[in-house]
Amino acid sequence: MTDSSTTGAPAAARPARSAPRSLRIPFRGDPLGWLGLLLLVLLVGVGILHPLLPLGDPLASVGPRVAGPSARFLLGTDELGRSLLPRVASAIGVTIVLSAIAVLVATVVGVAIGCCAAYASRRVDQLITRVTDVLFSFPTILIAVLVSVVLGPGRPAAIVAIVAVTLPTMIRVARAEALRIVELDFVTSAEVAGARLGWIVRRHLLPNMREAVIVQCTYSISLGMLVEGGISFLGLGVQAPDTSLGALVGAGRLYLTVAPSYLLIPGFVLGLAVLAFNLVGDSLRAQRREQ
Amino acid sequence: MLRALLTGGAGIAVPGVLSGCARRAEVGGGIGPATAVPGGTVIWGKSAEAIALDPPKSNLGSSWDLIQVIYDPLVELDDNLNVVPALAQSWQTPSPTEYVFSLRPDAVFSHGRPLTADDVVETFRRHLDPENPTSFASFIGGPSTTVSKLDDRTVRFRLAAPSRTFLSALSAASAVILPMKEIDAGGLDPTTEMLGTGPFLVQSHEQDQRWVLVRNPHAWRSPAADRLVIPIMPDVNSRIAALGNGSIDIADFDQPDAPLLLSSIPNLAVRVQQCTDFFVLTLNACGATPFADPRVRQAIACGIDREKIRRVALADAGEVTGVVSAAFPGAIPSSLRRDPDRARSLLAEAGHPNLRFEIIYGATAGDTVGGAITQIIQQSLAEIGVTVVATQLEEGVLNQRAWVSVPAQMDATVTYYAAFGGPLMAMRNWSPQLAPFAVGFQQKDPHLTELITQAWQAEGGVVTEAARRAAEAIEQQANTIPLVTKPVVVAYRSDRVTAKISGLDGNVDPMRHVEALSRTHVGGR
Repeated sequence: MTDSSTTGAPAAARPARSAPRSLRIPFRGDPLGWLGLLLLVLLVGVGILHPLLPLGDPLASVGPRVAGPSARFLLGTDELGRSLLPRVASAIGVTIVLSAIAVLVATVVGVAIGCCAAYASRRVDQLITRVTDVLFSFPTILIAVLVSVVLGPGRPAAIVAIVAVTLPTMIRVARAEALRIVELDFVTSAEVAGARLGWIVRRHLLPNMREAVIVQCTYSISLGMLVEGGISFLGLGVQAPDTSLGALVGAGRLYLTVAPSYLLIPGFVLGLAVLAFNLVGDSLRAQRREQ
Repeated sequence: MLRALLTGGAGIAVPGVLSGCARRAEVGGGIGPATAVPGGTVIWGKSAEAIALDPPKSNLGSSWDLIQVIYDPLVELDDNLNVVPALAQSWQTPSPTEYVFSLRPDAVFSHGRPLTADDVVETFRRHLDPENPTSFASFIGGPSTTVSKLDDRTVRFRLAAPSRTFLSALSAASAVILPMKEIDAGGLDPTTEMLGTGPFLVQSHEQDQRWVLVRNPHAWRSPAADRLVIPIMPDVNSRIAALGNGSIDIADFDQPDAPLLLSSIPNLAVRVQQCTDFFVLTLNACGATPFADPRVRQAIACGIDREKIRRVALADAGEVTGVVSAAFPGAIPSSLRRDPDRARSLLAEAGHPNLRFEIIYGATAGDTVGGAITQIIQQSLAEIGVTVVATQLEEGVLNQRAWVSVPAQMDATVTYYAAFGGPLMAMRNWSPQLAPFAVGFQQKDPHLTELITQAWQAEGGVVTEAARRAAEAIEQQANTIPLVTKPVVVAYRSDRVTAKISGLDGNVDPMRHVEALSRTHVGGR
């Protein structure tokens, strides 16, 4: 048996390996990209490390009800007298982590289906394309709410809802990239050299799709955060006493006139997180275009 | 006992400018004393659509308030929950099991036919049908009670045993008098049409949008306003904004924070109305569940900090209550005391030291009370090692899981019970024999049912020995744990309307004095 890595096929794969090199020094000459990355690191850091920070207990009723920001409670308190500072920090983590997990799942599934569409028969490709078209025809929040109602509210439902919403785009991106790559000479060479499909996908398709998929991931995470915010706002996402940015906005809505910070701060942070992911995505996409 | 759900309905109706121009003209200018002006339109922003319109079968608080505007009962409650005449101008009690009511001679249905004793008799026969008694029937003695006509204006009820709930129960929305001649003749479907002797009659209805009521020209108690427009506005913020911009005149709120939320609106009168209704934590003790063990239920009852629920979830607006709602004067105090050590000990003894269960609660638009109470319970029970998973469900799903399925598809739920106008009426909910809706989650306990029946039959004030025994047994059983009373906030634009708001309500009827609602003229010219 001949190890395919010793055939001509690996040589054809070399150009693909050099492609992601530019990502090693990200956002060169792109201050907005750096700003996005900085915000992202800050928000992810706060969201994940908040139990270690001296912010207080997000679940304990320790203060007056629905109080505005003060020296003791920097962001104020909610309707149960819980400090909003640790709750917002906890919510950041929940929102970002849920979106990230969902987008990871959507990416794996989307890339797999995209590759299948590119390599399978025309009929299968058309079927996949039409199904994604159908999914696109539904409003995003409708799909999310439907999923949440069917599965029942909670984190799993939120994750599945985000997957359902982000998957069609991921499939399209993956399919388009796969179709582009399979037409390239080095893939044809590998096929002629007798390389197996799995090897071609692993060595040629995936490395060359990586940049496009990563860029799409950043957009999907920001979309996922908005979807999670939407369903949690409606009470169908994260359940009490846990919270997410959407759930905080939903709870704070009632108190807009008496404690506007309750709604505005989580809303602002959610906007900031979406902005951060979009800035990073834009920067990565710009880099990719330059290449 | 009827169960009042945490209201339902869907859709947000933006209050229209139905009569905005007219109202502006009526208000007029100038500064001076406000005086009531007969006629005109009053707009009541209602928090939920009325979807169960047939009074005997209606078990939704969101329908009862509208029913009580269209229909009248034989008797009603005054502001101290005393039973006073309504359609019955007087009554006699020849014996403890016999009531004879004399009907008002001026009571006429809104289509012009006078009320007769036959309407009363047939209305209650619907309740007391031996084949299919209504849920309400047990309050008036069940199918063993007979109702008969003595003459065109006199009706007699005979009960199998004395009942302390009987008179109070007759004031409930479920006991209003229907035009039975038309219903029996097939000319009126009470599930879709409303025709009563009350101050208003229905002019039009758009589902989930609005009701338009006009003055009943034959009403024995004529309203001050000509029209009552009722936009359905489930969203709290919409109601607040509508009060602020004057597109509605009066609205009711379940949120204890409503006075705070309304505080920035000028010319707004805000009344906190104490109600006999009270919140409960219902544990599902039917089937293979840890709550089948009374020690586990008692541990939960001991673990809950009800004072904290009152203080935090209700913003100090309600009261900690026992089985007899604390809103009743002279109510029996709850015997439940928070005792975390005993709770832990009971759980260990029952083999559930790290109990974990789910509380489901409704997701009514804008309603935060059920969720807030659930979270305080979570916090309290965490201190005794119990983990509570809180899940907010859409109302239809919640109803199916908690109230329709047998056994109930839940561990526990936070809801509220309507206690009506009689201190002992709510006791029925702890007996599936007396309250069929409870059969899915409430353990059958013949001894407890017997104690409740004895309490209902005992002579004396609220705190009879029999009532005390029943209350203690119910709290010891801890299948459904009484928590805190449920106040309602009613707010109206004092510059646009005059209103009389009762300080204490027993029949889920924030608009009890609807006939007194009228437009206001401000100015001295």
